Amino acid sequence: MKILMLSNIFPPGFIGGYELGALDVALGLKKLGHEIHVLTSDYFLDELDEIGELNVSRSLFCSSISHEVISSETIVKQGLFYNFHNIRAIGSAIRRFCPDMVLLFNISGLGAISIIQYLDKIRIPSVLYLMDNVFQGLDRQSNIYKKYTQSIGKTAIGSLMKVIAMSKNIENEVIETLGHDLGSVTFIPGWVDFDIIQEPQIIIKEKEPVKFVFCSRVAPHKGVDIMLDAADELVKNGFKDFSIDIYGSGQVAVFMQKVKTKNLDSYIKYKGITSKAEMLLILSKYDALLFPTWEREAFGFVASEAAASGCFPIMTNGIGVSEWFFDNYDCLKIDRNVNSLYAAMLQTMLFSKEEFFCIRSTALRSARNNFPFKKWLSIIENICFEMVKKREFKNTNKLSKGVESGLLVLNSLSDDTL
Amino acid sequence: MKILQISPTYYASNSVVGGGEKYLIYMSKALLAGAKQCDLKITIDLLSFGVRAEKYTINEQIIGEVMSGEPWNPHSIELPKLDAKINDFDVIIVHQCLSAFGLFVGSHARLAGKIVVGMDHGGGEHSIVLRSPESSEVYDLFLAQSLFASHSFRDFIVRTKVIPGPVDTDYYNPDRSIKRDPHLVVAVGRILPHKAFDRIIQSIQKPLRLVIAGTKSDPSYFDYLVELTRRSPYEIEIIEGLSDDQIRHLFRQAALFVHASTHFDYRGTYYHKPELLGLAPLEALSCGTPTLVSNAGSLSELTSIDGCLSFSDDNELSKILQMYADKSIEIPKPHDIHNRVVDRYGMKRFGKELIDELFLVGNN
Repeated sequence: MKILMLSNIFPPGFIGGYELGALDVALGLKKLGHEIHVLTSDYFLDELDEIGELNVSRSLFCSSISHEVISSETIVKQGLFYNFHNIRAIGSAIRRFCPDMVLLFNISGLGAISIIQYLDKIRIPSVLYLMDNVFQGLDRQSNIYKKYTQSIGKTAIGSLMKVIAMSKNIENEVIETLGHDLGSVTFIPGWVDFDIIQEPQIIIKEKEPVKFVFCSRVAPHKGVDIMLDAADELVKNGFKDFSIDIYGSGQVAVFMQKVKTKNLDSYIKYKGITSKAEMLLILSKYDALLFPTWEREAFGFVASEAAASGCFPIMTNGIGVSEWFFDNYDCLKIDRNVNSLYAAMLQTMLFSKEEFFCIRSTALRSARNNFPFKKWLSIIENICFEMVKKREFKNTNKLSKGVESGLLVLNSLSDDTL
Repeated sequence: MKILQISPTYYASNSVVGGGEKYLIYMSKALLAGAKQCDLKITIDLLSFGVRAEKYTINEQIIGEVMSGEPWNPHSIELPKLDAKINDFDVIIVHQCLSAFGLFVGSHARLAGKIVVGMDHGGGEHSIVLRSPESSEVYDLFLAQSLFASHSFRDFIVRTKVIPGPVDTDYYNPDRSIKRDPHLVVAVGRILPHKAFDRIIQSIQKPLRLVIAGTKSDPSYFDYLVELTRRSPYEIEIIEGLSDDQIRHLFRQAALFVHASTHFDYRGTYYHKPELLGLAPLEALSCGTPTLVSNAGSLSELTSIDGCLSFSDDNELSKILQMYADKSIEIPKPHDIHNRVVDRYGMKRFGKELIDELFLVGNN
């Protein structure tokens, strides 16, 4: 297959799991013999040709993740609804590359609504891969939404678009945002490439402090403050046999100052940023992952990666990845508050050697069963094959130009009355 | 083949804006005539917009619908209804295609994957057309009713096909039983400054007498014409509210039809597209009436018909009128004039050529 892939940002740089997931799929499908062309923004460049094995054009404009300061109005208008530059670039790529289908990863900030309408109207099969709510910020009561739908019509997931979601959680959120269902959704969790990590040996040493790890964006929505307060409570109550190592970028300075202020610097240490492959090895050296992230976490790749490394996750109940784990069996699920996290951390610290071994090895087995990349990549590939079979209209070139013009005109007319 | 013609306004006794509306009906009849020639089954619907929604039929063959909406405000249209209507057809012909309304309708037809044909009748151009020539790619084809009309599309990459006409040559034909008045000069049209009836009033001379038939579309210009008429020593009459039958009778009676449209009106106001076809002179010619047209817009293209002459300024108009008055000009027979109109602008020819063109677009 010839697959055009869209993603608002794309490695070598990354902010979260979405673009890393896109990279995994792009490389995986390429290895399976498919021709992949990635269209993304220039937020991250690849001047050292780190992913030179892929054909990547960084010609899109992403309003929501941009080096420029962009007004919130523009972010909504161009990022959510319509960006002529992007529609034109996508149309041009379709005409030059002639893909069999389009695989959409994070299209937030690219004019997500009109991209979906465009692909539907030019009758090219597509798969929308939801690892997050790419329509976040859409307010169906807003003036701009009303004008847009009055001019162009409502977005609907047509018969030529298939949705893959990482969790029921994200499907529900997107349905609530768009106000309509997404058709038949296939759920595919985050994955771990077991080809690149060896199965770790789980060794529990008695009388060693419990080694917690946090590996995500250092930001309030990921629960860093909750984690800090829970650690503070543990120390205050005399439970001092633990350490927390922090990996990731974000508001590191602010967070570490808070650590210092609470005199927790001998318990909480910042370890920097590592590549995904390195992180898989590092995780195996820890007992438990702390992941008190916000409830709307679409999945949480890190929890599946930690489990695959024998490091069981302590995570917010209801997030995408939690749908694949059982509380007190291969993970601990918490409510997103200090008390709940405190209790889970304490429970971990009070585990017997056998209990510890059991939960860690169960997490490892669950991850090995649930998250093998090869298995899920094969399912993604099959979904793509199925969608390509649905394609009836092959000559999209002229149609794509006409539809581009139609969207340009309707958006311009919509602006007339905004 | 199911064809839907969409125009912002429609042809009715209380809503006539101009030839652009009447043109839809001619075009529908022409397509039916062309389809009959090709032994092709087609249906033709008309869609326009107005204050009150209604449905009507023309000759029991053409179904018309008026949807509620303001013709010049596309956002006043109920989009789901419009989309549902468009979805029922294979070909959408959009009139006033460069206006906001036309572009709106054309874009929806494009998004629905239809064959979309655009026509301009001088209803205006939205700024997006000037800013982005790519906006024209909403259309598969531009159809121009004259060479002059084709200039509206010259900046665009979309192909333009010129098919002159059509005019209803079945309805407008010579009638030997009606005696022509050798001194009667007739002018017909909406009474608007760019129609320049004032030029004819100021050029008329004995023994000719002038009858102007039209709708008072611009009261101040109408008053100006009344004043000119009052001051003129010649026999001049302005008549309002004539039916199509009465107008045809005038054509058949007249010795000469004059159409003096101008790019610059009596106040100096410039008109970019005063005439894109010239339906009134074509109807007169189809009745076998010798015709004199200005060189504004497309009018001079009508001189391809024997019996039609063109003038470039008021002096030339006076001179030619004098020649008619003196009978020093050779005039073809009415049926020869009519037959030439049938050949070049007739229904069957137009319909056949347009259907061929639609198949060509569809196959591409």
